[in-house]
Amino acid sequence: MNTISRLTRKIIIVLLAIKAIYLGNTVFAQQDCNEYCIDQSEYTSWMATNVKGAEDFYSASRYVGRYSDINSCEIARRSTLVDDVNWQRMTRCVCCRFSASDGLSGRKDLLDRKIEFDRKIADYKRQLFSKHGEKALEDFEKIISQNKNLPNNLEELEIILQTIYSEVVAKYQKNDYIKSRKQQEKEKISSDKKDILGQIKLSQVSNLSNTNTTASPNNLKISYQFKQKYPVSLMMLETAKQPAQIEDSFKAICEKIQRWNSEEISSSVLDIVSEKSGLPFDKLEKALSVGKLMNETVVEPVMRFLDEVKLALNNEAKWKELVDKSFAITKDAQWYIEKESQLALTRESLEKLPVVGGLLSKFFSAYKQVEQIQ
Amino acid sequence: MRNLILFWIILLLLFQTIISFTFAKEPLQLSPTVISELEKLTLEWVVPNSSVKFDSQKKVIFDVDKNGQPWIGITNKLLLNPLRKQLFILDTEYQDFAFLDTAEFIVASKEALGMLIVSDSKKYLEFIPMLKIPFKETRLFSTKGAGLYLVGYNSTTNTNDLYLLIENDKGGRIEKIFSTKEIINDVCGDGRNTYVALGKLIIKILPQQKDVELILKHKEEIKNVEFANSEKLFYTTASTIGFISQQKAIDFLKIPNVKIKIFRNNLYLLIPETLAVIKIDNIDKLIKN
Repeated sequence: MNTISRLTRKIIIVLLAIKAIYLGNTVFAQQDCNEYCIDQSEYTSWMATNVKGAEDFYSASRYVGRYSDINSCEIARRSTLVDDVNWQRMTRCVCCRFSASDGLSGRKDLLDRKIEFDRKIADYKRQLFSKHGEKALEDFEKIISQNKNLPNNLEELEIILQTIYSEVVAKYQKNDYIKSRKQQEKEKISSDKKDILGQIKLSQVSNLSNTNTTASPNNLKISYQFKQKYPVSLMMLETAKQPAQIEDSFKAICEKIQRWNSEEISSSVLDIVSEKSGLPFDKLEKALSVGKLMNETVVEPVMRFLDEVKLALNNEAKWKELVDKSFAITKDAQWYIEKESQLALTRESLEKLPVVGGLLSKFFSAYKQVEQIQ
Repeated sequence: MRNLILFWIILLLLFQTIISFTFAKEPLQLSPTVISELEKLTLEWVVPNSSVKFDSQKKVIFDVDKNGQPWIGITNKLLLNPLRKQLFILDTEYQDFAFLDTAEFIVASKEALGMLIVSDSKKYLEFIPMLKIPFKETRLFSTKGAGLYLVGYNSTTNTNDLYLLIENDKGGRIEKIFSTKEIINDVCGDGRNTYVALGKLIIKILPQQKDVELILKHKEEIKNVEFANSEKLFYTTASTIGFISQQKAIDFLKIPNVKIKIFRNNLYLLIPETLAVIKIDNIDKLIKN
């Protein structure tokens, strides 16, 4: 029991001490300070740095309001921008201490930051220009101007500038690499071609010495100057002077070619059949274009049938069967002829289509369509 | 009526058989258009058709490089790669150019064969002459392999001369293999087998026998002939593209005035009017049948 009462007594003493300290502070504060103000410096700095368009906050005064005691100051601070957590967190009531520079320091900070920003951007530009030239510089400036949300915070700006710089450098390093590769390839091609030129010059002499040319050795060494720049082989000139392996001045050859040229194209079946039958050539062409199929489907069965007829001439018992068969063959032949006539007509109409403008694709697709329908 | 049609068809086919037999030793027969062959082909617009019309009267040169990139020569001064959208200006007026199988690019000027380098000023391609030529008009045709055919007009003899430039152990070799008063429209081959388009004819040069062989006589003038492999050729006329294979010549596409080039089993077609390029894949499938 005694223990509990002793503990309670200690707690009461501690509480009283705390109260005394608090009251003491208030009294001292009230004693030292005639007026209380809201210190908004942290808040305005944050606003100027992090909120786009709020740069003017740099020039805002550090203190606002004048209150006779701290409680009225606190009430005023808390009732201002009630919903703005940053205001509530970053402002506090303090004893007013105005100075001559107050209100100008924010503007100075702003100017300092701008100078720092410009200095950093200029650094990157200088580096780009020296390493990759004017175009790289232009690219960098273009990206900067397109980027409307550059941060006011120097550290963040540094990161973004570094990123843009790296991108531009990478692009120009890639371009430089490609350029150098192309140059290397060109040099290689040029050197290969020089080798070819050299080989031609060498082979010119060795080859001609192996032919039956009557040209003197001195002639072979002539290097024809073309455009006063490149030596040119004269081998073709020498060969041109020699007779050809076959010439149409050879009597037999000449006669052959003349005969072939003068002959009508008698080998064309169409011409001959057209002439003999008196039927128009174009109609015959259409008819014969299906000759292979006709042969298989019409002519061969008819021929086989005629053979059977020959064998059955003296066999009356077979005649009726052959009559029936002849009807069947005629019916089949009629079906094939009709089908082929349709196809021939289709081809004829397709051939009249304008050639330019996808004739071929139309040709194939149309032909296949006809087949599918049938 | 139907029986009459059938009769005519049979009659025509009988004629065909008889005539084929009669002319068996004669030049290859021109087969009619065989549409079914087209099914084996696949087409691709490498350079799409444009609405801009190019003056087709102007000389257009067409070739394909080792990467399958088309190159078009225009007005004898410009070199266009339509896929890469690159246009080069040459310091010298050229007559023709050719990409060899070895990827080498050869240009013919009025005076020499040579190559191109980027000029020091980097504003144009500079022509470096290497082999003096005695013709004012020269055309180049790459061979299958590392050779080059060259055709030039010899004003002294009034002949069109065909040369073959090839490599051997000792270096370069030039052979004058054919000379004719006819106009040579095109040349193709692998150096050993050489085919020449002369008017409506395609002939094969047989140097060993000192002779020529008729491969095809077409009803139209042969403009281009391209070598796919031995005895297998593609050709163009003013209105068609065809191929010759296994003793058959077939006009398989009707398309006017195209220039053709074979590169790695693909047939490239240039339409000079619009500078469009079409690729036909897997031409060996067409040839095998």
